[in-house]
Amino acid sequence: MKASSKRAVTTIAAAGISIALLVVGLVGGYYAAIATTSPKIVEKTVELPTQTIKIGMTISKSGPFAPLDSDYDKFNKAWQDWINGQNMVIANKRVKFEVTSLDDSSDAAKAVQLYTRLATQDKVDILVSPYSAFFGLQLIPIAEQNQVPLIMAEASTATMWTAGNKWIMTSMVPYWEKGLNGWSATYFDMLEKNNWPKTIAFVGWDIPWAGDDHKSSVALAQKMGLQVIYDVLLQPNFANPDFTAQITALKGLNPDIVYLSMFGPFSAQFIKQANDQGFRPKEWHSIEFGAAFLPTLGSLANGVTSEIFWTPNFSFYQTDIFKQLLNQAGMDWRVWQWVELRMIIFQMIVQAVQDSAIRNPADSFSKASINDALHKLQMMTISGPLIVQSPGYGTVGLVPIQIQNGNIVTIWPTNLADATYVHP
Amino acid sequence: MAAAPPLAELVLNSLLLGGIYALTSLGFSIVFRVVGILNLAHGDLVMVSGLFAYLVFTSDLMPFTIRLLFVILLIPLFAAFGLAFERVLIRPLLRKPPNEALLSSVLVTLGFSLVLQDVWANSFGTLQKSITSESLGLPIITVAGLTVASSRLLALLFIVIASILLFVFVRKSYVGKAMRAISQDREAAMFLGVNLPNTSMITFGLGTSLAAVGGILLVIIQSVAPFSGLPLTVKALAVIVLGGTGSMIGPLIGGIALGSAETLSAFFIDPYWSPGIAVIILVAVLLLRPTGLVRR
Repeated sequence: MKASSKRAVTTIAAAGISIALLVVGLVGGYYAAIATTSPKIVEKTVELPTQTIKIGMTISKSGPFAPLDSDYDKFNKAWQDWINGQNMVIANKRVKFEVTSLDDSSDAAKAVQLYTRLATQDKVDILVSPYSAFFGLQLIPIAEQNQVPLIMAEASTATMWTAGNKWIMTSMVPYWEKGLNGWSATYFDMLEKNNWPKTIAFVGWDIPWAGDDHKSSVALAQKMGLQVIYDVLLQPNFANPDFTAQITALKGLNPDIVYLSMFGPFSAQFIKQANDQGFRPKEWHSIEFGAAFLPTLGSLANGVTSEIFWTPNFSFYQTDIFKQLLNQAGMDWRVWQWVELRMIIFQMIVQAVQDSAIRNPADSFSKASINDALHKLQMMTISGPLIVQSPGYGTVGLVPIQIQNGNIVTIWPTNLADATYVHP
Repeated sequence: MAAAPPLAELVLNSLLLGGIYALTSLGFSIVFRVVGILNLAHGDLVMVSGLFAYLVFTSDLMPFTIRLLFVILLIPLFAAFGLAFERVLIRPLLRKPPNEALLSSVLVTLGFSLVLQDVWANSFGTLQKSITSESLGLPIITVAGLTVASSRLLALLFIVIASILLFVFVRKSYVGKAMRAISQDREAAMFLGVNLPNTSMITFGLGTSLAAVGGILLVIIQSVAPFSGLPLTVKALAVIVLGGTGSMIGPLIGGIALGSAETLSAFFIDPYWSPGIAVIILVAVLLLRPTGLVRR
């Protein structure tokens, strides 16, 4: 063998040995690293103390409100499973969320008893109100006396925010206002731009939420120059109400728009009965379209306008997660119309716990600190930006929708609309 | 406020509302008069019948005529259920003294009412169920300027036919005469050989079949829901108090009076106070005629 060939073989052998050593070193180092670091991670996981944030609420699983919110229980469960699967660590603690929901049987007195129990015996960290402002109003003293933050879910009315209450807040705009924040402010804005109706009639239920919407919308209609030719508030009647008298009166007046401020299933009842009496205005507007609204009306629902805080074409924050949770819960957002407010509340709670840890490291998880954080929230939600105002109400408003061929489409404002408003 | 009142239409719709009140009260009333108990589950039976009618009507598996046949079949099925219900749950109570039997029946039927509500809510959801006239192919018709859904007219016709049949049955048949005899004087009827247990059972079956008719009409005209039964029972109670428990036509008159009072006062006086006005009428009738509008 020639000397040059020998050198070449030696060089190749040396290179091969070097590479082999390098590979052995790297693999060995990798396994050594795993062997030394893994136990530390496990050790760290075990070492982190767990902080459980207890959220308490009632849901009307029976009684007249059951068609409107009985399935929120399923959404709570889906959210709880998802959030606890995120392994959140806040202020060096592993934070778990525990949602307790009891059945108030649509009975305000029972709700008061159960919230007292949640605040005093179960010692929850945060309370979430049940459906309707009428119930919410009666729960405020429990929150104030026991100093537990109470987030108003689908419950808000003017008097809640003027009494100097310190422990309540909501995501929603002050929708009783007669200006920009009114429940149907964007709807009337849209009507003004389209400029087709001349007359409007109002029929509503005299309960805090519906009454607030009714009054603010009458003012908005007058402000945009519509002639209000009928305006009645009725006593609520949950047992198959009959609207013969109102429909007969409306037939004689023939308004362009009939604005219904009552719970969705009863608005559907009104529209159905009006159809049976041969009355169809140019447009029905219902402040709620959830529960059995669509199945009750079938094709009669086409063209009806309404409002909502969220539709699937919104893309602000955690929209995909919200859709995923709805799927897991087996819930249809068109039926459980206000379930988006539940998601917003959970977003508020997570954000407030995080903010509390930053603002008040020494006392991150106390009710007072979380309450303070909830009152100072500035965050993004599935429905857009939320800034909690000093009285406790928020900035999340509604957008007009229309039922077109059985689908619910967003028709205003133009940057959020996914369909064109159909009108005469 | 309103233009010239289309009185005829208002009256027609008042009659229809009153008719529904009457029909749902009729079954409740005969059970109270003959069996001597208050069936607080009556409204829930109306609701459950409406639910079944809804499920059959909205099923795409059968042609419409077959579906209609199945819905009509609900009436004898409910009658059979009523017979069984009386035999199993009510008959044991009737062995007690009348006052105790009445009190016990309130507890038993209220418990049954709650069971029906929960079973429904858990099995079929809490949402209201309703059928539009259009989905049944029943058009809105206008006759002499009077617009009304043909479903409502059919309902009114059905109520009239059911009332006439019931009236004839009670007047002409042996069982009907036995029912009247028991409602007038239970002990005398027994001495005269009336079979009290059997008559009670048949009466309960009849009352339940009337609940079935009410439910079928209610799901077409208004809606049914799991938790709406009890308020309907309370309404039925008001109707029989108003009409009087002394005769078969008492609930018919009471139902029409209440329906008309609610509708006409809402139109001519103030819709907000309409429920209150109905209560005032009820109290006034009780003060002036403590036995109700129709005397025995």
